[in-house]
Amino acid sequence: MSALDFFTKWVEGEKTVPLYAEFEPLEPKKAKKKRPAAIGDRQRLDGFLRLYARCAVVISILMVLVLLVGAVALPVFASPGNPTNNEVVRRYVGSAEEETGAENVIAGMILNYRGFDTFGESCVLFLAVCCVMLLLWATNDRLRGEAKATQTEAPRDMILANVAKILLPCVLCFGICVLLNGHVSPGGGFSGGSILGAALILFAVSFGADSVRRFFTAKVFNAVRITGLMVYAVMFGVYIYQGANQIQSDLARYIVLVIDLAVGLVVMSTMYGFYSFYTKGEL
Amino acid sequence: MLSLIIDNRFAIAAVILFVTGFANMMLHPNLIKKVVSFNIMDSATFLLLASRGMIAGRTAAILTDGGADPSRYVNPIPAGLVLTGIVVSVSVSAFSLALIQRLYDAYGSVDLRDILEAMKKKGE
Repeated sequence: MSALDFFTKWVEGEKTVPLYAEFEPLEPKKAKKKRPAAIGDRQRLDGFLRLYARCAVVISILMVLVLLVGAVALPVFASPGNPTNNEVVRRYVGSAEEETGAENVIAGMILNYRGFDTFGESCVLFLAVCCVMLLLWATNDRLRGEAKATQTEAPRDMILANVAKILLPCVLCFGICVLLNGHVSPGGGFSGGSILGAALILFAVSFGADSVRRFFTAKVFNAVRITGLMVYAVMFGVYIYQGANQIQSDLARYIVLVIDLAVGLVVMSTMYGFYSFYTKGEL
Repeated sequence: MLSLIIDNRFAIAAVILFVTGFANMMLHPNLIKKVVSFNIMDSATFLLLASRGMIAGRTAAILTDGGADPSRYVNPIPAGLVLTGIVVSVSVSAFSLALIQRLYDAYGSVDLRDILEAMKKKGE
């Protein structure tokens, strides 16, 4: 039965048509076999790529024109009367400190007023690490065998190790400081977490992955990032359930700090996870 | 005309950056460079967003001794949006680079044309 027959029968309402009928191609491919397949494919691919390149140039030029017209029509740069500076901004800046306990309005905004958004972000990071793990985890068909021998770490560098000994405490302190002061000064969960992740990567590069593995195994890695997400979800859920801005207790006011810590943990483990999976294929 | 361009210089720079990244992503056969171009497009978006939040003569939205007077601080919302954008951009880059690494394992190349040809050969 050809696909056309199937379709006409289906349109006419015949119910005996098998759902997964074996289709024959509408016309047998004879023309293809006249010349060697590889050359034909090559030519067709070349032709397609040439057409593709021309289309890409045309689309890019069209795009630049359309976007430039849009860009020129935008409101004046840095003017206080722009439509983006509306009552939302006044509300956020005016009552952020009182309602969220954060002097850093941006931290208060992303972790309190727009907390669901940031929770989604943390989930995106979590999922990204999961995907990278799925794709790059050294399974039997990859790395475990012969490739593992070639992919061993670079020899330990003396200069790097000595510099890292001086630098690491500073980087760690700075990261923790940025993380804990995120609600009163520039910084916050994302930047502090990135700095801590960078410190972990520096540690792994200068003293070898085995020394990181003494305290940051795959189990700890999973525990840290799941704990971060859970703490965020539970704290924010409780906060919303209790009536969000209506609560006056101190715990509710400093919820930003707790959520910031949770985000920092997620970001830190994500950064180190990316590094570790790209270099070694495992934690 | 000139004043129009100067008024919107950041938006125009963002457009140029965006289309540079877009054209490069479409035209370059190397997959790693496609990811790089993708990141250039991201930067263009961040530039546009951040420039929209700017207000001349005001400081960053961190409340200091001046108190919560909205007329002293720039717009904090684009900063939050840029933060979201950076996180998503990092995640997408990591995911696509992992996919490219798997493609390299399977076909021994990061060049799109080589991969397409190798796929054709494997299919037949």
